[in-house]
Amino acid sequence: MAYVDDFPTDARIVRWNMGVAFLALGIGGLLGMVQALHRTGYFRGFVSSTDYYTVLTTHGVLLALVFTTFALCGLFTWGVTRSLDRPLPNPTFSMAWFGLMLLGSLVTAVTILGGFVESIPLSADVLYTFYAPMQAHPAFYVGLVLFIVGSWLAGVDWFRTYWQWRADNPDERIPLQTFMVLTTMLMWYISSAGVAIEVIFFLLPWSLGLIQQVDPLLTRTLFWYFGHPVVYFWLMPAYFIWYTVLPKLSGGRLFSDPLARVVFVLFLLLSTPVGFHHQYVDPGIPEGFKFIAMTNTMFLLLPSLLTAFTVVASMEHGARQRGGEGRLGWLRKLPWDEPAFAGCALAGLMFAAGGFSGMINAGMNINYLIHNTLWVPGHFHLTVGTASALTFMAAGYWLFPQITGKRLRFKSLATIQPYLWFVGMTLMSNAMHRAGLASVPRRTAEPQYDAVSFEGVVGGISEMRLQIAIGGTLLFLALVLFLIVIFGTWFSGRSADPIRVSSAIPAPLSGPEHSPKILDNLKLWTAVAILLIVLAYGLPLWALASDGLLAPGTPPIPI
Amino acid sequence: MSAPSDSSDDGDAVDADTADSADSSGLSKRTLVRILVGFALGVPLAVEGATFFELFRRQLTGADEGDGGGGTSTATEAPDSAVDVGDDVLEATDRPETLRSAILREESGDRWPLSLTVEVENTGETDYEFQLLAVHLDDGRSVSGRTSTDRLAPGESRTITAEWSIPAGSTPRAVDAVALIYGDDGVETVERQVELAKIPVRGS
Amino acid sequence: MEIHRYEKIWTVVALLLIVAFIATVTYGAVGAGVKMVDDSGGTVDPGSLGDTEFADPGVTQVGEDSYEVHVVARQFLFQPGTSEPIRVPANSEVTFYITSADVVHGFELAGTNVNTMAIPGQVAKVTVRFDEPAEYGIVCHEYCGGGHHTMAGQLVVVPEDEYNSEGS
Repeated sequence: MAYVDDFPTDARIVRWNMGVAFLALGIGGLLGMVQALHRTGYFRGFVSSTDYYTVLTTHGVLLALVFTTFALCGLFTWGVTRSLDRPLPNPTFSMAWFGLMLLGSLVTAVTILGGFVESIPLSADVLYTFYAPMQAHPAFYVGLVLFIVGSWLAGVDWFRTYWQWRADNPDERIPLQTFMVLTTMLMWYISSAGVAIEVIFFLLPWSLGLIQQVDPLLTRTLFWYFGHPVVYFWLMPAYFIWYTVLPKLSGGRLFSDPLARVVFVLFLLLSTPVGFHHQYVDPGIPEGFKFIAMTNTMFLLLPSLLTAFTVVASMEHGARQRGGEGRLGWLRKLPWDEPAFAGCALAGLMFAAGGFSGMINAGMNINYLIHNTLWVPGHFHLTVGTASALTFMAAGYWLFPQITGKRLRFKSLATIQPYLWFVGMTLMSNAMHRAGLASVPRRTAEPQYDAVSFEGVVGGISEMRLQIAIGGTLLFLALVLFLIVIFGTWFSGRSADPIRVSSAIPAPLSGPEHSPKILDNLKLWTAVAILLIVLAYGLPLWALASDGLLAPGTPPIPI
Repeated sequence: MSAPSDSSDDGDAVDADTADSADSSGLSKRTLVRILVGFALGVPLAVEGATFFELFRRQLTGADEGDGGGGTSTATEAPDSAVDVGDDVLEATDRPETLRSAILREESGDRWPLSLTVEVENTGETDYEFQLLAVHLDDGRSVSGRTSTDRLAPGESRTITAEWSIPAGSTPRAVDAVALIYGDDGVETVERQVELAKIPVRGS
Repeated sequence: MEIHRYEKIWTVVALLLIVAFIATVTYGAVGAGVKMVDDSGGTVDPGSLGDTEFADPGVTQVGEDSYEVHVVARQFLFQPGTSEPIRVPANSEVTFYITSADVVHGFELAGTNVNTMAIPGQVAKVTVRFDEPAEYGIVCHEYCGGGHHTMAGQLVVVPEDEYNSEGS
């Protein structure tokens, strides 16, 4: 019996969330290719350089917020219902949060796209970070609020399902997938508070003219309070797949359940008190707070390195179950021809590189060399752009048959797609990193200046541009393949034969019964997380606010 | 929890699902996968390997010590003859036409105002006229216009300001400049497309 | 909790790596003396820069080999920097005071680690040693509006004997 037969209503919720996610991915990805061709100078005919920033805002919001969050909601709904073996308690409530998120996304997206049409006042060319005093149309902020509140309600939905299960199962350990969902959402509630405060109490009233000015540094700090943990909101669902599904795809079992719990607890604790590492070169923030953020960030490497071990160990176990032998020979026995496996494995491999370039970003004084250069997008296209996006696509290949009851169509395209993405991303990201070392700036429509010479540290500037253009185009091709497979599957007819994949997940080699019960004490970990945030952010925020919440302030500059 | 190995899923891997596949016949799945993996690992290894090799080579042989200026200019091909504020617009004529200001403003809406102010001195012995016509943009488009000093007597000077409304975000690259030198036996025309130096955009 | 031997080794190596990274950065801070931009530049009112030391931005000599440069970043130029290059002599220590008159801008000398943000209301104070004569491009690397990609400038480090310190 497929998941869609066991949980028909929930399967619909999952389908719709994944559907919106992949639609956003498609549009955002197309815009990404437009950007790659524009800023490298190969083709500037799609938009003017001023409209480039409208494209960039859309790309950022659709991919970094809409795509990632809806994908998370789809995967987590599946994971909670599957691991607790019960449906979400109230389908109307579920459709309500989905609808709210969708409405918010549409309102914000339409406002941003309004920037292309000069005759209407809707415009929000403020990029995904919307730094004051650049000001968007109020609808932009309203849409964001609806979206975030919708995501909060999604978490409530999963918590309620868990509490109902807990009432029937007072002594059992939280099933791993649900544990991961709950810890991720606790982290989300804590971290999104920052941007919620920024938008609801400052930017939205300011855009409506209710307050005259805002303090750009305070609002920026509130954004980055949220802006770092949001990347874990993108990463934890990918880890969720690597820990619970990838071992089965490899033919084996998860190496260690307790260590997976430790990793997720570490993310709950450490994701937020690190935000200042995005503000290393900001004036107005004392060096001491930046140093604390640096040390906290370096320790965030730990859960990811632990994950690397567990994931590889689980894959090795699976490969040996399939007959793999030798020190490295077992790698050949893995199902590289299975798109879901290949996507996850390649995503994990690429994430290792992304993690290390992230460590450079984290290196406080080292950050001077690459802050706001093209290195930074080079880094995050490896992490959210591959570790998250490619994993979500791979999960889509595996999950779509189960939530639709239909077999995966265009299987050969699916087989090729992860590899094409991997190669395209390597080319693009490698060149972006190198260009960043030469100080080529990010977020710029035309990084070609009369006054500035860029000296390539490795390779020449025009060669880097070519590589970015090629990489970006390959990525778009891979995206098209993916969309053909997914939507082709979704809209195909359901055949009489049963699908070949199932949601059954084998028990881990080392199960939860081996882990200390304290790991499941979510209240404790939440309290510790909040304590760490107070330590990291309490004084700086108080200092920024003590000279006036709105001062030193500037009036809005509408964009 | 279910039984250890879900062999039903392994079935996915082995069956070549040719019914709905679109790949070329004759290429077995195994071979395709080998090519894919080879390519997917080969290209990144080559690219990253080359990058690391070059980084180490530079480090070990002593990188250029911050000379700052010896880099690749990313300037769009504006030749040294590009006219900047203070330069003579039409070198081809013996009368000076000095560009006094070049202003490009960012404004909301889809057009930005561009204005060029030129001070023309008729230092010659016959009447002289100077005109600015169309401005040419970086993306190949042009915006027409016509501003003239009208006929200047010898010794006379005039400052003209030509204005164009150019598409927002576009970059002015060159302007058509015409000089009319009036003589006893008719008018001599000197017409050139003059390259302009980059004009910094001013915010609203 | 049962932890595999390899995993224990891996965790220890991971922690050592993390400590090594922190040590490297700490060395950079206290050993090599690379200071981070902080709040020592103070705050200003961006709406009335004319009443502050930013009223006449430019280079001033404050010591034998010490100079101060006040820079105002605005849409879409640096004052000074864009219409005329910032000029300082070689073998000098230059302290930049950078702020913005409108939105958030970036300020980076391409190819160097002089890299900071120009935030309206805040003054970024950055001290730099210039040894050799050179030309540096100044890049605005934070999106600041429709003309962002046109915003750039130049800083020229002039040989000491050529430097006319009256120019500011």
